[in-house]
Amino acid sequence: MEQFSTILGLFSYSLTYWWVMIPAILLGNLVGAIPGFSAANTIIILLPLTLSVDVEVALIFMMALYSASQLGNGIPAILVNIPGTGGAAATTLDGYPMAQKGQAQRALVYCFVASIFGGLIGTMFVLALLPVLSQVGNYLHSVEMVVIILFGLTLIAVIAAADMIKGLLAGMLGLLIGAIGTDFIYSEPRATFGMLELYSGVPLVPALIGLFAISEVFVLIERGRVLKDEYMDVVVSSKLYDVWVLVKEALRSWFLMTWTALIGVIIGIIPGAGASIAAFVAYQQARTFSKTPELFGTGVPEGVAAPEAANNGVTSGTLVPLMAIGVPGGSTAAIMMVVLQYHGVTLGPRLFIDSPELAYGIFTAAFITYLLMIPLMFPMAQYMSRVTTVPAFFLVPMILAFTLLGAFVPRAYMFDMGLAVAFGLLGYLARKTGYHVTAILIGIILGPLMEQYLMRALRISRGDVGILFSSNLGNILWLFLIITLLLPVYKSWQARKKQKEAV
Amino acid sequence: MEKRPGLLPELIIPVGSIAFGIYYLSTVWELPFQAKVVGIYVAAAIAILSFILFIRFGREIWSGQKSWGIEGFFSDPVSEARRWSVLALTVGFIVLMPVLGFVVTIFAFVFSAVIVIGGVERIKAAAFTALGMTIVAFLVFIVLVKVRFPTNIIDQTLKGFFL
Repeated sequence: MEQFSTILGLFSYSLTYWWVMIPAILLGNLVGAIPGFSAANTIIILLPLTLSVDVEVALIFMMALYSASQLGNGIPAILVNIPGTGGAAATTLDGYPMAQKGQAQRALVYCFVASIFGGLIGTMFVLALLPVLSQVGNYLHSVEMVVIILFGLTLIAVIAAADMIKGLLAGMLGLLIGAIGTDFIYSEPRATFGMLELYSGVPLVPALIGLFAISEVFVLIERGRVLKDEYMDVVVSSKLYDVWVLVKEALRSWFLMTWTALIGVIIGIIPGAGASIAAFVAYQQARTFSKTPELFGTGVPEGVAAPEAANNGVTSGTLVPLMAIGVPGGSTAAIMMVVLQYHGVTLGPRLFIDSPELAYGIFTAAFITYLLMIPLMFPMAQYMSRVTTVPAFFLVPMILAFTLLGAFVPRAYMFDMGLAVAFGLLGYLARKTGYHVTAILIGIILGPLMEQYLMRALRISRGDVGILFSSNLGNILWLFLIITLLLPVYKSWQARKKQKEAV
Repeated sequence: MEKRPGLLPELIIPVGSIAFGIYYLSTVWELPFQAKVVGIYVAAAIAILSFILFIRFGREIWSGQKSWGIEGFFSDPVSEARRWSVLALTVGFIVLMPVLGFVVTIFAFVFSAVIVIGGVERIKAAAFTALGMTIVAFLVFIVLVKVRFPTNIIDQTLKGFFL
């Protein structure tokens, strides 16, 4: 009871820091929307600021920035087919087709509703079950992670539904590209073409920028603008009131958003896993259990809501191991740990006894941040959707310049800009010839993670593949994976049977 | 007579993937099993999938659905000229930035790209867009985020006003 009243008091306490949260939300949205930037590198850049203010202010600022950047990732993914990070790549699958059909505002509203709803659900879930959730990481080892990543990889087959062989080939090429660089056990270089810049593997940001942004602008040059001409009037005549109607419509998918947000929280808790896996798994699950799975990829709002709710669920999840046991769940959490330690905060179980206002406060701050996003983000959807009407001669140079600069940011190598162009050409060729770029990207993102966990498992078992079926939780996950793979086959068989009966 | 779509562009990715798979295997062949196992399986999968694709392509050629060649890959000559020019400008942007510095390269790139895509009649719009883009990029990347882009005397002088 005492803990409950402490948490309740923390909500109102967090609200008094609105003046820290609002600039952090705006900055977070901006950095989230620019490929190459992330909450992690922005917090590093702003270290002089976060180290010089009170620990509460620093913590709230970092949390608000992190939460807002997760939401910001989805905006360019919808408007111009450029995900801010790998976590928003799944959003492009349905978000961009919606924008092309004049439904950019609808897609953005779904993105905002799902992000905010997912963030709120994730935060409440974590606050309610923090002691239990902090133990989840102990039960998820390499074997279980292999199965979880396989959930994400099966999305390649889902995406490839239109042309299975081409889609699978694109996914395999992505996996092989992801396996460039030194291996995880012996640190032997593999397929680096003699380039030192590739020893640590193919950097994700230039690959993302090339496959999505650069290939997209080459297509845009031909098309003239994102929006198809016949939908011009729909976008231009959209009103602020439409946002309210769309919010109500989006909230009808509350069950999907809750469920995928919880997927995000659980995946976020696992150190090393992240928003990319969560978003792909959520998209794959949403499609599997949809009544109209065949429409996914053509511009259905559920295809936007699921990955966005999941990657905002990750935000809270990733902080659970940090606060509960002092192990950061991701790069942003690791930087937050540095700031907190500088301020003399000792993370771990003692934190909940010594400074509950900090231990729980980070989550209440996230909750309030998501609430503040409601008045800040929704009115902007109408204006943001107009980006789709901007002619290519303005949009293309700006996208190219910003994304190429973004490719340079994470490692400060000019090489990475060249790599982005090379991936751009691959992406353009893939688009023109029917090989799916998202399948290539899934391979590049999940391939190294898959290899890392598989190697660890095989190392522990001394090469015995049986280890993959040695844990109860792992076997349950295998069962779910098999169900997930067989369910669409069963559903389509049932639909065919019904059709036959009707005839 | 109706032109059949050409097959050659569709062959680039499978042939390139096989070539990359062979190169990958050549670099891991001497390594311990655990360092090469993923590469071996993925390269094998690429070979099998490409083989299936080649059979399909062969059938498409045989049945007359497709032709050898590149028909249908390139769009109208104007769009193609713009696309290749933008690609050349992009390569120029990367090559010239260490020489010309941040500000000059961005301005020149955006200005020329707007002209190439929109036409010379948009020279004013090109200048304003390039100026606006350069200012925003300079403020975001150099002043606010302090990214270490290649800079020259112009960038250093401008930086001096802000930092």
